[in-house]
Amino acid sequence: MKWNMKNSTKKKLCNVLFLLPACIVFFVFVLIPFLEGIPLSLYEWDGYSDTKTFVGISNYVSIVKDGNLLEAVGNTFEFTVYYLLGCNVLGLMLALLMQKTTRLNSVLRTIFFIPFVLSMILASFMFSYIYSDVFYGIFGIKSFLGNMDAVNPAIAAIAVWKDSGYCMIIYIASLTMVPGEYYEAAKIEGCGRIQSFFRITMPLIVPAFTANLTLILAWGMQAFDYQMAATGGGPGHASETIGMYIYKNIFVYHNAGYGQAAGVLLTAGLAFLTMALTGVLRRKEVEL
Amino acid sequence: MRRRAVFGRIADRALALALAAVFLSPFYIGIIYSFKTKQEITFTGLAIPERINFGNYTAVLEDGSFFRGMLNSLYTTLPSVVLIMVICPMASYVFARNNGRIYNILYSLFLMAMLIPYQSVLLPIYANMREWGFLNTYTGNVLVKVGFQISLSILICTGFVKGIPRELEEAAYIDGLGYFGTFWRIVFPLMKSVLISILIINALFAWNDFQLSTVTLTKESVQTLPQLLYRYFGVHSVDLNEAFAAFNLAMLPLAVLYLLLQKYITDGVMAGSVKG
Repeated sequence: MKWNMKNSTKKKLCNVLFLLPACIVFFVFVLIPFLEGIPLSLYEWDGYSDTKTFVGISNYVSIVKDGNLLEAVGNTFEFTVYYLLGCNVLGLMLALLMQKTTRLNSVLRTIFFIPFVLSMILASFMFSYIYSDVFYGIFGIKSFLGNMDAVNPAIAAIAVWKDSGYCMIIYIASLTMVPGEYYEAAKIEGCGRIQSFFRITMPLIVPAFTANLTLILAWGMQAFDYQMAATGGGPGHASETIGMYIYKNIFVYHNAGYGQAAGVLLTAGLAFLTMALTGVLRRKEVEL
Repeated sequence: MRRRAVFGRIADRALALALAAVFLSPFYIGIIYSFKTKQEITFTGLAIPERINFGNYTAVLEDGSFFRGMLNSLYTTLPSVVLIMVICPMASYVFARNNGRIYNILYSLFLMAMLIPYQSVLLPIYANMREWGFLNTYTGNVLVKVGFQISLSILICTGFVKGIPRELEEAAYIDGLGYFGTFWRIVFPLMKSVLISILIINALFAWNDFQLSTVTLTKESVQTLPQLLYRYFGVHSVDLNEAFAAFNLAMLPLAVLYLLLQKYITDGVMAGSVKG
C-alpha cells in the first residue's frame, strides 16, 4: 500500500494517461454524438444539407399525431415478447438439462451456442430460404414471412434460435453457484424436482434473470437487422420495427429531425423499461 | 424411486439430444444444399448428396465482390479488436485499482452507455463522420465500432483485474519497474484469459455488425460482408444452392474461431453478465 502514497501526483498523471485513449474514443464516437442527438430532434432537417430550421417540439407533436410510429411500436413489442419469452424459457430449460459438466453436455452446449456466432443478417437470410423453400417443399406451408399474422413470431423464432444459447450460458453460470446442500436438504424434507426448482432454484438465480431479461429486452427493442434482411418490414408494414422506422426516416425519407425525435423517444422508453424491470427483479433477489 | 430417477435422466438426455438436432438442422440443410446442383435439390431434397459438388462454392468465389466484402470485413474487424485489447485493459487497470469519486463517475458513465440504442446516435454519427471526412473509411468504421464495444470490454476487464492480488504489483514496483512497467510486464500478461475473451466477443461484434456499418460505409467498394449479403440477397432472388454456399463461406471464419476459443467466449459472456 505504501507506494500508493508516494509520488501521488505522478501516479495520478499515469492514471490519466491510461484512461485517455479509451475515454477519447468513447466520448468522441458515443457520448458526444448521443448528446448532440437530443437538440437535433428539435430541427427540421433533411440530414445532409446546411439548412436546419428550428421547429421546437413540433417533430414530437407530429409523431404523436401521425400514429405511424405506433404501428412500429406494436410490431416491435410483439417481436420482443416472443423473443424474450422464447430465449429465456428455452435458455433456462437447456441450462437445467445440461447443468452438469460432462463430456456430452459440453459438446451439446457448444452446439446450442453456435448460432450466436452468425450475424443477424446471415441467420435471417438462411431462415427466409428455409421458410420459403424447405418448409414449403416438405410441409406445403407457405412462408410465414409473407403472412401478416405470423411474420413477427416467425422472425422472433430466428432470433430465439440465434440467442438462446447465450441465455443458456448465463443461466448455467448462475445455476452452478447454487450450493448443492440446499437441494439435499430439500430432498430430505420430501421436496420433488419441480417443487425444489420453484422454491430453491428460481429465487437464487434471480441475478441471471435480471441479466438475461434486460439484455434481450434491449436487443429486441432495437431490432433492425433481422427485419431488414428477412422481410424489409413487410408484408405491408407488418414487421416494421421502431429501429427501421427511425433509420428510414433519417436516411431514406430524409426526414432526419423527425427520425431523430423518434430515436430520442426510443432511448427514453428503453431506459424506462429497463429500470422498471431491474427494479422489480432486484427486490426479488436473495442473498446467498 | 431409483428407477424413476434413472428414467428421468434418460428422458433429460433424449430431450437435450432432440433439441440439439433441431438447432443443428439449419446447418444441415445449408451444408447439404450447398453441395448439390439445383436439379439435385428438386429430386433428392434433404438427402445426403451422392457426390460432393463444389460448383456452388466456386461460383460464389469467382464473383469478386464476395472476396472484396470478406477483405473489408477483415480490415475493419482486425484493427477494432487490437485497439480494444490495448485501450480497455489500460482503462480497466485504473478503474480496478482506484476508488476516487471521479473514477467511479467515469466508470458508471461507461456502463450507462450500454443502454444507448444505436438508432439514437446514427444521425449525429453520420453527420460528424461526413464533416471529418471519415465517411467510407475503414478508420471511421473502426472507431465507431470500438466506441460502442468499449463499455462491455471495460466491464469484463475491470472485474478480472480486481481479482488479481496487489502484492505482485507492489513487489514489481519496489523492484523499480514503475507504473508502465508494472502494468505491461506484470498485470497485462496475467490478463491473458480475459484478453482472449474480449478478443472473440469483439471479433464477433465487429465482423457481424450491420447497422453501424450501414451508416458509416455507404460506398459499395468498402462495404463489409453483412452489407454485401444484404445488398445481394435483398435484390436478387438467388438459387438455394448458391445462396447457401455463400452463407457457409461467410460464417466459416468465425465458426472456426469460435470452435478454437469456445472456452473463452463462455467465460467472457459469464463475466459480462453476472457481475455488474
